Amino acid sequence: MLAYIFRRILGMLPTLIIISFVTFIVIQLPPGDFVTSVQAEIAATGGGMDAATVESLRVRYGLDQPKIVQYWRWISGFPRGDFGFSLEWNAPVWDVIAGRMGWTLLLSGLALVFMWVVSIPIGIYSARHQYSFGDNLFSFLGFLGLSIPDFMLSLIWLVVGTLVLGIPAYGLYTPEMVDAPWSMAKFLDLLAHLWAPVVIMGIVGTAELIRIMRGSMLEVLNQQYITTARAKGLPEKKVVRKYAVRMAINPLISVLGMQIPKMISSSIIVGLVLSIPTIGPIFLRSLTTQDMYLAGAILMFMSLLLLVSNLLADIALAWVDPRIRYE
Amino acid sequence: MRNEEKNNLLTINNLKVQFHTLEGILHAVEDVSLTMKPGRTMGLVGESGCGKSVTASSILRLLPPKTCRIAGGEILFRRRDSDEVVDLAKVDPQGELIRSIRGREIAMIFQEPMTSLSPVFTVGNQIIEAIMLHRQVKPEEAREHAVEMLKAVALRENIIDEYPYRLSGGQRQRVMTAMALSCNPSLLIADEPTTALDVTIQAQIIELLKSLQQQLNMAILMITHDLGVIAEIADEIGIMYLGRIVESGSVEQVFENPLHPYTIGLLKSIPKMGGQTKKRLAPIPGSVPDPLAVVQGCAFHLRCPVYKQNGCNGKDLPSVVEPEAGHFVRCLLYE
Repeated sequence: MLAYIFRRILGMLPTLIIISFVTFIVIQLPPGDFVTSVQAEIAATGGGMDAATVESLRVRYGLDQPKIVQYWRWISGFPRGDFGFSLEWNAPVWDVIAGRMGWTLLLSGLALVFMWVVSIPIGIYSARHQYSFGDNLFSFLGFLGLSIPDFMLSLIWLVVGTLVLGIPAYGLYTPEMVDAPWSMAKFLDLLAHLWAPVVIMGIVGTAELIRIMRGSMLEVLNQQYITTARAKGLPEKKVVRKYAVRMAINPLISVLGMQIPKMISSSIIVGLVLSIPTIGPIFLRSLTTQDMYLAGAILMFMSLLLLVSNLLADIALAWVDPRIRYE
Repeated sequence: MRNEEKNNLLTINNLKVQFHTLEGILHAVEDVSLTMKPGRTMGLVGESGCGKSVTASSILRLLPPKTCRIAGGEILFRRRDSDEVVDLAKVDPQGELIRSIRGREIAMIFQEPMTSLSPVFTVGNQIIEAIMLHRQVKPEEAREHAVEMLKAVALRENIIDEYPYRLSGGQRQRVMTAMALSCNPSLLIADEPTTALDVTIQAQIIELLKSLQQQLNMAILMITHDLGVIAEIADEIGIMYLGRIVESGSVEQVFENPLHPYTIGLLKSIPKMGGQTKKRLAPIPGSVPDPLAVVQGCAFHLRCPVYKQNGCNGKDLPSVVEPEAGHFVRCLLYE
């Protein structure tokens, strides 16, 4: 098992290198560079820069070097923990994104937990009571959740929360709490703000997982070994828990690897609408200003996250299913 | 209760099982009666869809409760400890009573050894679970007993820590047998236990069942479409057609003196070795009617080669007659 994990991690390296190439090419694709966008911004406010200043800026940021040199300068820092320098923020990339990465991961993680905790019991219930009123109700709600996009839900929540319920439905804290030192009250305030984005981010995934779990359970419940378990005299509860759920959960783990990147992109949108300091807003801005090292680093982190989450899903799958473990 | 019935382990009287499907009511078992005595083997034979597996599953009440209903009849089973007779047709299929009988007093082996064990738990886990469920023993004792059972079915001891998917079909069927017998059931229901296995393994499993039966004095209800298997193992035999037992009796009676045209047809359609190479096999003409369509009168008259003889018009429902002692037939020709 350890050898398997080690092999998988080694296998991730070439993938990451290829991703870094593609990432670098993609962020270089738009015409111009960071200095061009600075120029444009200054021009928009009525100012201007002479050619010498522009050139000296280019030299200062290393933008006059050949692309391959720029790439090497950027990527060679990664193993040392140097993820480049944000041209716009005038600070190391890591300092700019560290806190925001944290919030992004926290929100995504909580949304994943929410999805699993809600969808598994509902999936089991729906499968065991197929076509009952409850099953149909959950199916209806599930399809509703599936068809409303997250930005729409965020907007609805913003309107309902602020105008109808009269609570600030955006940000992480109520304004007077933002600079307060950590206390129980601040923590509770955070929780009161956090649940809505978590639910909004999780709702689409929850609906999907309910469908997957329901279908998977229905299939497993028809298997011969379920009848065998019943024929032993096991109580129905144990038959379901030990024999059915254990097998039915496999497809859920398989989609886990795909669910995590979805959560990240959802956190971008929800973060923008509900003004939560996720990675989203800053990523968008770095792309428009062509702050290439920042944009590149964020893309690299997201790719790494995708690879790691796939690895985690595979490990979990091997852990629950001996047939995979031994191959 | 008559004296004779008192010795019976299982008595099924006029069992009627229906499936409620979208297309209508399917009469899977129309009218089945049979009796089983301790230590004896009864073979239930018939084509696919004749209701033999449904009969077997309804004894343990393993049929899907949503679509399937026992519409009539009784399944009287004598409990081991109390000698009390319970009607399994009337118990709650998820209740305490049937669960204390399942696995402990009536065990079952299924047709598909490849899928009848869960792939994610070890063989030991699944056998020990059955033992712990019905016996007050410590886990170590249960494990020891599981090893004994595995040895009894001629498997290596270390199979106990294997996962089922690493075993062959024959090995899995042995594991199933070991699991079924681990609590010393007084009745074993074997639902086509050898159908999915190749012939040499079939013979091994049959031999195994026979020797274990002698050791444990249990009754076996063998469901199969293979008359060869029945000839090997059964004492009594019941031939089923469209939800009814059309002929029953001892194996000798039915094999040597078949009465019902369907039984005669079944026996004729078995290929035999030697001598008769020029002779064609005689399959039964036609196929089993659509189970949703209710056939009026004798269910077999549509395919019967001798119907219209001897004043049989096929339109009346034949009743059971006993032309010789212990040999029953349900056919208008014998009324």
